[in-house]
Amino acid sequence: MAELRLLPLDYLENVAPIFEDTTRNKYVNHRTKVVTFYSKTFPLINKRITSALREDDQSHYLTGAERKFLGSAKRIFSKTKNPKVDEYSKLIGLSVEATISRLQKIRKGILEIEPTRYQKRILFTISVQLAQCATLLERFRSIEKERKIEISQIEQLIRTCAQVFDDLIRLYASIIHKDESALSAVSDQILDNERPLFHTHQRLFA
Amino acid sequence: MTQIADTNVILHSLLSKRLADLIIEIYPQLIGKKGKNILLFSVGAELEEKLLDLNWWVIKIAFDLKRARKIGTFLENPRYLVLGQRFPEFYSCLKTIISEKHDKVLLGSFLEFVWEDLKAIEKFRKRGEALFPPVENEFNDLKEQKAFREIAERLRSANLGGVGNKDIEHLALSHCYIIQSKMRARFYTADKEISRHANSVKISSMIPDLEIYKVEFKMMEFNEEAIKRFAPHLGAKGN
Repeated sequence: MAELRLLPLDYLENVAPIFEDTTRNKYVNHRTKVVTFYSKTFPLINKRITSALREDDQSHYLTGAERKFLGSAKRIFSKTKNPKVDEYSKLIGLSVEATISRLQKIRKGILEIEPTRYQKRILFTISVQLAQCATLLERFRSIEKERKIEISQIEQLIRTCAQVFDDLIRLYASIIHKDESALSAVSDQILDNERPLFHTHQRLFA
Repeated sequence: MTQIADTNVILHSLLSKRLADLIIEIYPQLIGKKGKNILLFSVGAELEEKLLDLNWWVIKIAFDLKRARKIGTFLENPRYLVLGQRFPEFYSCLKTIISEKHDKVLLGSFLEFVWEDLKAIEKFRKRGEALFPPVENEFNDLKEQKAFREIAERLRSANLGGVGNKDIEHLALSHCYIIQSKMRARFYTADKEISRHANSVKISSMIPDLEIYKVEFKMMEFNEEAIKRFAPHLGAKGN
């Protein structure tokens, strides 16, 4: 299963927490009403992204969407100023897109082989996760169309993203360690998330 | 784990979101109330395997469907023959949709329905307490009971025409449950043979617009009267 080579865990562990972190750390300019997110982890993430991109130059492992996301993140985080709400929400939208492309790649890999029960379970979990990500992406796109972005809406989305990425890290970890019981627990968690987080009709194919 | 009859009840209900929703909704409300109950038998591990297998096929078909040029001969590919053997009802249902409608979008949306139901059933399966008997040990205990063996034997000796061993096991289990709970029970099945013998079958189409595809899901009230009609030799309830 070549396609089950995943993004390094430490990459996800570094990138995913920022979404939660930044919802708590924000600065609102009361005169202009401009909201700025800040986080101590931004320089660390930037460092990590640079090395991931450098590694990919040789291995060509990343998908197009992932490269796009990392490039955009690098541009934003290398600035001296902290990101504004609109570019930040766009960035997180890109991260969801990158996740979808990776999950699609894994799914394609599983569909091409004769899978075992364990791999079928992975496929099931990934499909549910994919549908959730597709719903998230739709929400981001609908927000982008709006002229004025409501900060509460963005925060809500970031929190949902954080939860989805948290599940994703645990899913990847269980796949890497080939831990069937952990996979089953993650699968349950992902299914449980459906009702509180995603009320809309989900599609089979993202 | 040996196969038991009622997994096909749940597996048939996989195709039905309404049925799955109904079970999830109604079960906690009705349990314990006199006169009504929902009967479901399953053994988690066995169902899980079938469920994951069906999930794999659904995703595989949806994936291939996106790239397929000709929908008419789509399912005649040899690789789908395994699907035909494992899930004959599902396979024939897909074939009917293709032959009657020739519509890629429609087939895609049907697969979506099925996938949604798979998720619903998986959620339902996780609530082990809602299934009866919930664990393999309980199932084995029940099978060893005198009542079960007697009824299974009587059902086997009667010429029920088309009702297989699995169905007999299922009915015997249902009967044992009725004896144990001393309540009327509601019995869900999609089995045509069982429903043919029972006059108290209420047909409820589970997915709107799907009647035309001959997906028949049946709901049978498994009460005293139904037992009499289905298997008169069994006599009254609790016999």
